[in-house]
Amino acid sequence: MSDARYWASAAALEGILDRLAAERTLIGPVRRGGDVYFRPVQRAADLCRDYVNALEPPKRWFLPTPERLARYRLPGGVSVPGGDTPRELVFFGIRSCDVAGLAQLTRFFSGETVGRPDVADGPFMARRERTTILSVVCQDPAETCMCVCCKGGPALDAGYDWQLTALTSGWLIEVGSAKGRELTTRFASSLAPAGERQLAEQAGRIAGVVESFHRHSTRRVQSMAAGRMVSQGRLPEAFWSALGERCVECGGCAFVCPTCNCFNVVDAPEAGSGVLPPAGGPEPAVPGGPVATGAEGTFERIRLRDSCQLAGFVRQYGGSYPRATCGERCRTRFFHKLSWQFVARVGTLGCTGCGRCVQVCLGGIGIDAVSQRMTDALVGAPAAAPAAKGA
Amino acid sequence: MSTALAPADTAVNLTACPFCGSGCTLTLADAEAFPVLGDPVTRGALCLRGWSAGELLDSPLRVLSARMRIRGSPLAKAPLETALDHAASRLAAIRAKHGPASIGILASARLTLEELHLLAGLAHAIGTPHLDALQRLGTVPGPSLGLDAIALAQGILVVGTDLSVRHPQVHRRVLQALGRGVPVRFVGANAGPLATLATEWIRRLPGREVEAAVLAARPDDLVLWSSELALHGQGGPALRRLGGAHSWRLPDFVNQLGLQEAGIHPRAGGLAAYEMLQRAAAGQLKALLVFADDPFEFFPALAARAFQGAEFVLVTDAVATRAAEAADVVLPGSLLAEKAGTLLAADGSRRAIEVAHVARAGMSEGEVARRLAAALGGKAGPAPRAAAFAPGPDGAAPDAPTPDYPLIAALDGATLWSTHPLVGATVTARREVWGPRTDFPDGWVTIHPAAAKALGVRHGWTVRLESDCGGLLLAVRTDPHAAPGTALVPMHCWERAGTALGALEVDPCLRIPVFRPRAVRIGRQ
Repeated sequence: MSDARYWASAAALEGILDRLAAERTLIGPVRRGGDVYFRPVQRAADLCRDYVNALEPPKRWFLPTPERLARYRLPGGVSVPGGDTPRELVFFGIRSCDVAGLAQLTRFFSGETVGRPDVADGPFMARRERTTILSVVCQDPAETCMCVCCKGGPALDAGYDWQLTALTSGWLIEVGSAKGRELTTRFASSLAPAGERQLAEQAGRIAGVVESFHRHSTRRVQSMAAGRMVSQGRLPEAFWSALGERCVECGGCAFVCPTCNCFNVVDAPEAGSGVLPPAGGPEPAVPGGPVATGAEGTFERIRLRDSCQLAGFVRQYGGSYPRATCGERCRTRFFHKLSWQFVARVGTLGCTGCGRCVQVCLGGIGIDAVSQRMTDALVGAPAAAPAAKGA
Repeated sequence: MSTALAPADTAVNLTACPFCGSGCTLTLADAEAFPVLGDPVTRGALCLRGWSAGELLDSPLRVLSARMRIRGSPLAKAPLETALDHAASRLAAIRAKHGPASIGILASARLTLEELHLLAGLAHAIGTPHLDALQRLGTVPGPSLGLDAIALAQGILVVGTDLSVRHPQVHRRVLQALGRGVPVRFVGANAGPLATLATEWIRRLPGREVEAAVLAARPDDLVLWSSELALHGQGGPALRRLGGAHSWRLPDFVNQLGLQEAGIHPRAGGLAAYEMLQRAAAGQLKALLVFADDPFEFFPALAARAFQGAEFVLVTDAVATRAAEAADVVLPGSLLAEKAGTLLAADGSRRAIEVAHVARAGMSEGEVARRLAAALGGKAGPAPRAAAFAPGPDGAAPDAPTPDYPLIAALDGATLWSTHPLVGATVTARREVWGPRTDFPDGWVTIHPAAAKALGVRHGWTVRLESDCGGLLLAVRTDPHAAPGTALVPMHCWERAGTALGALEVDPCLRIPVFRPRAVRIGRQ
């Protein structure tokens, strides 16, 4: 829990954001139609204030797709300069579930989860280090939100630079990092120490969100029961194959998940080469690729978001599929979301309860539905029958 | 890929997924596609093709400059205006020498409604009656319903189509209906998500689905079907027997309904798309103008002969294709994400799309059509509205299995997207649908594992697939989803297998090529 708490009026916070926007790229929620998107804004007045979370996860700013990792010229493999230096970003308004997801991604890409800082991912870490997170405690959860089940919100103890809570009058600011303390020092004239009344109001609001969730929401991430089932391998093959029948392998659950880190790296001719694969030959995995002996021109090494749900992700050279069926791939995915083994390795569940997988799933197998099926399997409820039909 | 690192665009612009006929709205955050929660079609969900749509923007296969060849020389880069002028002068010369009907135009469902009207205007300006689209394949004229029809349905009958591949958004609504307790029945040969989950699976061999559906349909049923019926020669029966008020023929391609709206279909005295290729191959059509499509996709041998037989071929496309490689002039087109315009979604409603990404090339297909029409003089004003398409009589009936030929060969509808030029220009979607093509580059036939065991063949072996007309060698893929009693050929082997087996025919009803289900046997090699 943050030891430093401040209060700022709405006008003062707007002034702070305006000053940050003038010198860095300020990214925050903007509205188009009924939807909210996180986009760069020129000034604080462009931000929308009452919103449920955006479908696009903030991870796209840290793991853009496609992302150019290198350019080189063949023959010779001479590196071609180019690419952009990550800018200084300030995120305002991202929710706790996404802050928790970003923390988990950072542990993964920094090499922390495997105890190997020497294998840290340079591009990701460069972006992360140039980013300031001003998160906002969620008081407007979506119908699909389940952060309460996963310790992913509505407020967090760490992971942010500033954590803001909207109060009746002004904002409560909690400081969570050295970067946050620097901001506090810099904008000291706009801040005042938080009083007991404001702290009490914040506690009341957070408790209200939690209580409302328990009272009204029908969705849960049944992390305890489901974790037990998946960790102990107690779910039969038929359970996973039934799940596989519902999955249409769109990959959407991974693309929007704030913690999923699967990616693909390919080498391809640079954009617009108009290179066709050789006629009649084996079909290359990449347009125009793979880079054949004797190839000439400028090539790029690009990284793209990927999903362990996809058959091509697990395909090995030579054509073998270690997890050949969709059901087997479902098992891997949910093992990485809910198992005790994963928690022991990474420190948290692989789910922060953002609920996006519920929103994007064409097959109706978001994490709430799957963990419920697992729980039903534990207690022997009829709904757990593998052949259960319908959503 | 620099755009991925420098996201400066603060706007949220809405475009449409360029693949199937659902009409999914999506946003492009830099080059990354996301669905739109508030969109009535997607409700926040896309299939893998939609999620991969952003990869097209910077694809290595993007055509970003004009290319032309003169007198058999290799294709070489040329200024856009020079290539356009060259194309216009070649077309003018051919029209003067052979008449306007010596020029054929192939349109595409990847174009906006406005662009399709411009193509109709180009045909009018040239004076040719030959305007059609290969992506009309399987299009059966009929009423359009909406996703709300599924929400209101008391019973649903899905006929001969794997919705999870062809229409994921409809598949999602059907699963939701199942969850509400609505009886969903599936008529089809092959196993798949819907066959497994449906209340009832009425299993019929390919080519027999319509007659089974007519018997099974209840008065309150909503009947859902797609082009798979027409591609197996059931277009006529489907049109006449399933085309009632409670039936919805789902379009395969993004603006397939727009083709109908713009009158892109065989006209009086005009050739159908496939017939244009045949005439060009015979040297009777002297010029082909291909917009945003690749005739080599399904018919590589015929397309190669057609491109060779024509005196002049112009291809305008956003991505490099075999057609572009074989053309005389290639002009860079634009992706839907780079255009503003109108599309007709699966429910027949008009969807406005915005420019969601700065255009990488200098021109769109519609602009090329407009410029050519202006250069070729022609008649001023918009093209007269084409008469509605008049379907012809039914084609030949499908084969039944015989003791000598106990299997039924048919197209594997699940491989529809494995040849689509835009899928081929992505990395992720391409990898998913092209995996088997990497494993079996010379084509394959898919059979049930039990059938393989009975035949004494194994996955990966080469076998001879033959009908009473002839046969061909293919690798065997075993898949438990394949119906016992069938031998499924992937879409990209349609022409080769169809020709060898005598299954490739032209349906007189819709004037499209079809793969008539043929009785076949498999012999060990």
